[in-house]
Amino acid sequence: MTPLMTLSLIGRLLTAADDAAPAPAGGEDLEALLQQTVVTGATKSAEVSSVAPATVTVITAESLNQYGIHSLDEALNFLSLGMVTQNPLHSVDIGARGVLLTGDFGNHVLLLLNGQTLNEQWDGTAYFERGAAIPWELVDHIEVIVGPGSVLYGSNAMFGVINVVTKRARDYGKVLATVDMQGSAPVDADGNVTLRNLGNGGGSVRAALGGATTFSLLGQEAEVIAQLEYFTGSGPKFTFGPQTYGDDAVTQAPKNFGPKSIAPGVWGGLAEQSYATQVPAGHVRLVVGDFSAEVRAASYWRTTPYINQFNVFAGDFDDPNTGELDRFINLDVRYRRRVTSWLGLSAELYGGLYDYRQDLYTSAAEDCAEGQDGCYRVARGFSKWLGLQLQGTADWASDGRWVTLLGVDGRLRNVGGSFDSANSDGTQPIQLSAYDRVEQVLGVYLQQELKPWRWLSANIGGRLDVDSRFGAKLSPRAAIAATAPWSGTFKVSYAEAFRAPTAYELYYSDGANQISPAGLKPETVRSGELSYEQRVGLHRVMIGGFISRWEQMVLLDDATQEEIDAAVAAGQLRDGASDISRYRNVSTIINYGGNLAAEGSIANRLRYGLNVTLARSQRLQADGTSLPLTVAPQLFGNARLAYDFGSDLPTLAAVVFFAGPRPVDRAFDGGWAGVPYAPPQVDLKVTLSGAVPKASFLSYRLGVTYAFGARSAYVAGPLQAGSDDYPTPQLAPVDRLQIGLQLVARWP
Amino acid sequence: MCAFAAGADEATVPAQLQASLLARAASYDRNFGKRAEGKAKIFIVTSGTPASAQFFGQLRQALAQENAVGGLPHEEVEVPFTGAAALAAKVKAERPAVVFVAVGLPETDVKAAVAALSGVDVLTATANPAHVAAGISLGFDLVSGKPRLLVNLKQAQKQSVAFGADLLRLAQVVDP
Repeated sequence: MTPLMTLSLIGRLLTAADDAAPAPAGGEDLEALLQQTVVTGATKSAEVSSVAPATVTVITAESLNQYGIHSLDEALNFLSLGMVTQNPLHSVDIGARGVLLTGDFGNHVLLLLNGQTLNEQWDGTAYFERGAAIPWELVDHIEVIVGPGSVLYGSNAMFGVINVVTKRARDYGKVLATVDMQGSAPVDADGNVTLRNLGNGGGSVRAALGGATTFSLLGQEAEVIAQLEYFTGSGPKFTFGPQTYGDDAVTQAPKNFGPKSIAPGVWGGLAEQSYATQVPAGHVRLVVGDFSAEVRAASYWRTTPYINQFNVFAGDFDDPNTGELDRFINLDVRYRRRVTSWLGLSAELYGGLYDYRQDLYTSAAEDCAEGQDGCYRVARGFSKWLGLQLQGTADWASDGRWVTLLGVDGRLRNVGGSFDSANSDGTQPIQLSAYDRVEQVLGVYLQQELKPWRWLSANIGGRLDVDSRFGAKLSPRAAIAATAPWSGTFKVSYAEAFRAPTAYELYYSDGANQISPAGLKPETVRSGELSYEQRVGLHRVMIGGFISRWEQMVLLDDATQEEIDAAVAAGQLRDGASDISRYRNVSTIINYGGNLAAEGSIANRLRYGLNVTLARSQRLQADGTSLPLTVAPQLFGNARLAYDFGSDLPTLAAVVFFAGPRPVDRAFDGGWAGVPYAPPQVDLKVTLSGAVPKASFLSYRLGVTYAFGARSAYVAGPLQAGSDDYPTPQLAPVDRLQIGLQLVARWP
Repeated sequence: MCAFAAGADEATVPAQLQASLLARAASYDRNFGKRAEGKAKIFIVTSGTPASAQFFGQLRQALAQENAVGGLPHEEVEVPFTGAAALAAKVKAERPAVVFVAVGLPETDVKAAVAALSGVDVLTATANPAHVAAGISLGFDLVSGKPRLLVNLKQAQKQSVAFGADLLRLAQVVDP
């Protein structure tokens, strides 16, 4: 049998099961139409994703439940195309299409909740693990839009846009209560699962309560939906080191890593109390006719069990009080009105309050200000913002073929931060850095959609942002989608996006090691992509390619002597200071690659899916050479199968995430023997879900997650550079085995 | 339709997809061919509001791009709503195969229209999922970003709409 005959036979077998029930003429593709996905985030209007001007994955609430997904980062890794996260045991790093920038705190992805930006305004931070703090049962679906998205949204949408859409009241139920418990198996010093010392395992629980109702108010249809939840988790207790660090540079005695250190000058041991997370969150949405209002409030406390180069630069070993706390309040009020058959107007008033605090305790003099033997360091940041967005949509022929969108988005924000160091008991604080600024942002955007014929869809647009941090930036986009008579869709697009410099990058200085730059330009990305999607019955295949150029990327760089002298003259630095850093636009990244996606269902029982991304990403160096990006997987994706046994029986689902080998985070500046790579990552989830027999209001989800790899791509411990004694890095461990049970009670 | 990248309550099934769904779902009504008598006349009932007028334009344009509805050639007619009795009289006189209720019609008017059309041989459809519970036979909803068919089976039977099991397994049956 030739390959072509084999493919033909497979195609006939796949569609034969779908055609088991005869359908009237013209009706045989009704079922296929019902599998199409509709997205709103790509163009700020509802359209079928196959013609949207971007590559889009829609992840449904049903998929989240069936495949045992507990958070956004899991949804991205296990169910999306093109986006990926890596977990360093604190907030995850997120990337797309082979580009991932460690320690950016998610500020290259725009995270929306019902179209409202959740990225806070100080550092542009968005969290994607439990810290996203979106009550999970409220999620109706998640739109993952890969590629530059600044054309409609402005800053941060460089990797893409993720729009989390919440449920309507009628899809939520009147009352919902859930408890979601997970236990993590202990791992030994080599990172392998062990049944010894079960007390060294971990656990988490999330409890939530919500409700929804519809009613009539002032003659208008209205609804309100709300959910409160609380998540707490800790462990497993990982073993680190031992790492013999040596002497404290100030005391010239073995460095003190606190009361739990193994020995003076040695870091490591069993981290019993320093891997924990707590996230209380709440969300309420009110809709009355054309008016809607929503409020989200949350806090996110976490501790990280090891010293690294992103958030815990120093500190005592296993100190439970060294941690980070983010607090958010977001408010969004909207009104939309169709004025004529061709003109619609809308207004959105939005705002937020955010603050960040990191507490760090260290017993080492070299980590502290002059004169301190040990200290308590507090880093703070905050942002408050208020914005108004006005939007008009003109459907010129009142038939959807020529639609113009014009929007204006103005925002006032107050951002600031400080860095203090006090004695370990909190006395004699010294403020090393402080800034407080009021800034303005104005964005004007225009989008023209053209659908002159059913088979052709074009989209062209641009957004001009004027930001007091950097000046002006234009972000254009152009895309065409053409559908062939055989239900195949060709898409080609070009888009640009940017990330404004953060307040921290622009304003932070500490008087001793870092100065603030005179100015920074926005980071930019230009990207082109081409794709082809083919539907055959209930099956869909998409293949595509992309190429991107990233410029003006901001990195911490050495300050020149001229810059140091200027900082001393300005009083920003003490006289004689050396080894000074500052943020600078220094880096360029080139990346290109391809995507493959396939999904479908067979006999209405078996569903399958596959997403693969293969890329090559290189960061250009000053000397003309190039290096791979650290931690960024160049080959990654997922595959899934779910079988619905029908009637009262459960659904069994399995999904796997894979990522190829990738350089560790200090691979090129750690001076290691050779270039250290993290091993391939393969994570498997198996989930059984369904209704509890004889209790139709109660459903369950029982799941197991296993990580085949024992180490992540992050260097752990104070030894962040190689030496004769430590030629290879110690990599952070992984939570290998988790078993969980969730119960959901829903009335009606 | 503009949706401000909105919540699930604000996103709707795009008109082109509604038209395609209607065109195919009509084939599953065993009485459609007999009712249409060779050409499917589709009444699009508008309420006089701007939203209704826009919806009419979009749906008419989308249906014009469908080669067939229920396997038959078709034509669309705008019918401004002037009362349930007037609508029922027009339906009885002109015998359309489909009456599509556009957005913007208040629920009280929908219920009145449903009552007036009870016993009349016609397939009623709507883009507002709430109207299916109010008595419209076929509706289109968006759940988790995917279109869903809603069928009010009792009302459909009263209007001689005979949806078979093949369609009902794809749809959510609404029982008010």
